[in-house]
Amino acid sequence: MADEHGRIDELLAGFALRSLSGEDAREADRLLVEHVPACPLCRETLEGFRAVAGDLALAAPRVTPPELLLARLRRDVARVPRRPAPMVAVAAGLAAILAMGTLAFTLGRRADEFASERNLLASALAQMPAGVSPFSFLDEEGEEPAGGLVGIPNVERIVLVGRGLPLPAPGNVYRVWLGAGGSYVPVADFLPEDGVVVLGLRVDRERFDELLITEEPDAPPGPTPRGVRRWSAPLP
Amino acid sequence: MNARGGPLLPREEQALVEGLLAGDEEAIRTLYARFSRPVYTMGYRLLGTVEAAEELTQDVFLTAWRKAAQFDAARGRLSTWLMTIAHNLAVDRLRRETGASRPTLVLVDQVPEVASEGEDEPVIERDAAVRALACLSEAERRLLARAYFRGLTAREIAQADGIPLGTVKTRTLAAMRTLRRLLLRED
Repeated sequence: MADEHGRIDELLAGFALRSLSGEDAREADRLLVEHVPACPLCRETLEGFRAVAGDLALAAPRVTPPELLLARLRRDVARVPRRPAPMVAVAAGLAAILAMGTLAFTLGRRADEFASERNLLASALAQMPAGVSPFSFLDEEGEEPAGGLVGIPNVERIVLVGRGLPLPAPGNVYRVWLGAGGSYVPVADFLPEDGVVVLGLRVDRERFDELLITEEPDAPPGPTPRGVRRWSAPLP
Repeated sequence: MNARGGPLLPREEQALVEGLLAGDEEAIRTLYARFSRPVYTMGYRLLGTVEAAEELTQDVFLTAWRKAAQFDAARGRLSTWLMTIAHNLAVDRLRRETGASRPTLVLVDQVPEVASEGEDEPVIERDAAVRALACLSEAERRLLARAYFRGLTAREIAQADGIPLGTVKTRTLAAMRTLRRLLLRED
């Protein structure tokens, strides 16, 4: 265990500095999704290394930015549309869940499966931070899927909720990618069941700013999306 | 700037970011006053031009505004959160610019540091970081500077120096652990 965490610490240090590449980078991505969120020791280590990296930035001798930047920033912030009021968004999300519940019963899904998914959705909504609302996925034409596909953001995870989703082509799966700056990391595969998906994802939103769903062959993922891009959404 | 003129308390940081989320002018001004210089400096050092540093600074503060709801003062400092956003955006841009040669490392004594009047900088945080770095060996400081401020990967550093990749990773971990221990003590 000590050796294993020594190796993990090495990867976390490199991750905090963004100095990983190749297989080390892929291994770190896997750890950040599959291991770190559930390991208090590794979470503390990662936060500690991130703080160190932040302090490196503060320690460097400074260059003064031009005066105009603040004015430009204030103009850009004022230009972005206001977000919907949180209570309105929560009500909309809850309505979607209730609608899905009706749909699930209509399709005769097992009560215990539905109960588990409903608990996941209810807790996801309850844990949405103030000022945040569910966000929609759009296809390449800017259209929402017929039944709807939304993400419910919490502090450490996002729950994807969709209904009326078509099945991918035989032999394919839908693959969820986290993206930043044009680079992507695969995080989950799913197949809608009766058109429905409820999927919880651990997301490092300090690192990523986009969710992408592609249709890919049902095989181990490569380093980049190669299949058809189905839906995407900026991470809030 | 808080009444004490020093670093913000966690609840003050949380309030500041919530003000940013709400689009409060004073919060935007305060955040910018405290962090625009280190963010701009990072952009200048990693990307090498004034234009790129300006664009990065804009992107960082807009991203912080978009992601303000994610900040939780109980989980870490505002400076860590914001500088992580800045470093990620800068490195992503640097590595995206394929074919572009990396800018020459802007050496410490070539960058004139000009203090601005009325600047609300967290001087105490910066002094602690400088003291901690002084406890590292010259080789460790140089390794971290190349990884963090030049965006070099461990593999690139190993190849440049002609040493095993494992050695670079081991030294990096040792340096980061030392800094973490020293900075925790300062807190």
